[in-house]
Amino acid sequence: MISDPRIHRAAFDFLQKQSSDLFLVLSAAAEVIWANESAERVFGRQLAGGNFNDLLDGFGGRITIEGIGNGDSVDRMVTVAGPADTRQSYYFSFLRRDEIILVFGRIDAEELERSRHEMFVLNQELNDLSRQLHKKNAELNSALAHVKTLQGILPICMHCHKIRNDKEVWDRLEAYIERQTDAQFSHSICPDCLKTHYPDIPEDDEE
Amino acid sequence: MITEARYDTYLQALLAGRRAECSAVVRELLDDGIDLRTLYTDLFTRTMYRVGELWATHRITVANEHLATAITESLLNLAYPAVFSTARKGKKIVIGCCDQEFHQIGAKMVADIFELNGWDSYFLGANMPLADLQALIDDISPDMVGFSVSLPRNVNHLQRYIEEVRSTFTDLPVLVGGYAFTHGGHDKIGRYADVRYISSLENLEKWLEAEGNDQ
Repeated sequence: MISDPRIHRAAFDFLQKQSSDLFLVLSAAAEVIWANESAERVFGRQLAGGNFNDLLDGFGGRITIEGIGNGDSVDRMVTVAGPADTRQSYYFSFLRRDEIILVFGRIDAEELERSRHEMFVLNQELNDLSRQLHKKNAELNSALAHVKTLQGILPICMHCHKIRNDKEVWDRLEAYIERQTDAQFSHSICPDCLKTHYPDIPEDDEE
Repeated sequence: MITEARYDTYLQALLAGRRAECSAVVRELLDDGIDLRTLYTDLFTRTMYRVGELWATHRITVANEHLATAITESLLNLAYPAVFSTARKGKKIVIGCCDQEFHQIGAKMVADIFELNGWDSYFLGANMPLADLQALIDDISPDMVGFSVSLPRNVNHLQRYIEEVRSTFTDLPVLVGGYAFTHGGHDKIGRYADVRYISSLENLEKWLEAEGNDQ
């Protein structure tokens, strides 16, 4: 046990002014007796005289300070309400010593690290998905560029069925469609034309 | 095209986590008609190597490094309309990072350079499970497989991946690269036949152009 009061003083000064952890002393009824500068900075106000439970975020996370037995230590993760409506989660340790309760609050570095890593990986996955979408979009656009369609009103000769193209030239129907689409023609003969043009050939010989 | 002043502006914004400012610089460069390989090499790679040095010398935190990485990776999205617009050559490469390698930007940029040169790249990302890699290779029969390694300690994982892949796909050419080889480690991969080390995106593009001319 260190008995040198200078060391006690130095340690207390460190907790009071320099520690980034929160350090409070409460009464058995959860009234704040003393708080270090870090705690007052996080909560954004002077704390002495207030009730510790009033400092917590309003999600019903009250802590039954009175239930902590003498010599007992209780650990709880709680969210505190800071200035400008900010919220931060701290890992608190409550230690009862007779009529006072010592409270240490610290950010859970392990939890933060785990969350940061998960968010990093999530960001990677989202960016990978975005890349896949761009690639797929390019593939679809490329496929679309090869799909040719005909639309609008086509001027067609009522007798020979030639079509007037955009250069004012009359094309045969097959030539026009082959040029404007990806379709191709394979010539055959229908039964009516067979009878008209080849009356001596029976219908069964069409092919 | 990327002046030192522009590079510094971008780097400072990146280190401070000012994503919008970084995005503005990249958009300006793209509007000015910068070619993507120059953008990737002279801005993204150069700044990320600098970020890596600052992290390795304890001048920025892991969180700073991860934020810079996340910003850079998101900015690659701005280049994609140009990346995926080239004519296809009918060649395929599978690219990713080995077990425990979470730095994937280098691999992604390599995949993009392949796309720019008409290859179809299948990017499997960071910490790529070996079984997934083997299944994809089996499924699509790529012309090549590529690995990027950023941390020197992960070169051992790379060796395992090469050996496992080669045990099934004996003739599949392998491409390797990444920051891990900046200060050595080539002897560990030099023992494998048909494993090509590419030191930079510029050299990758030269190799791809030579490959294209050989076709």
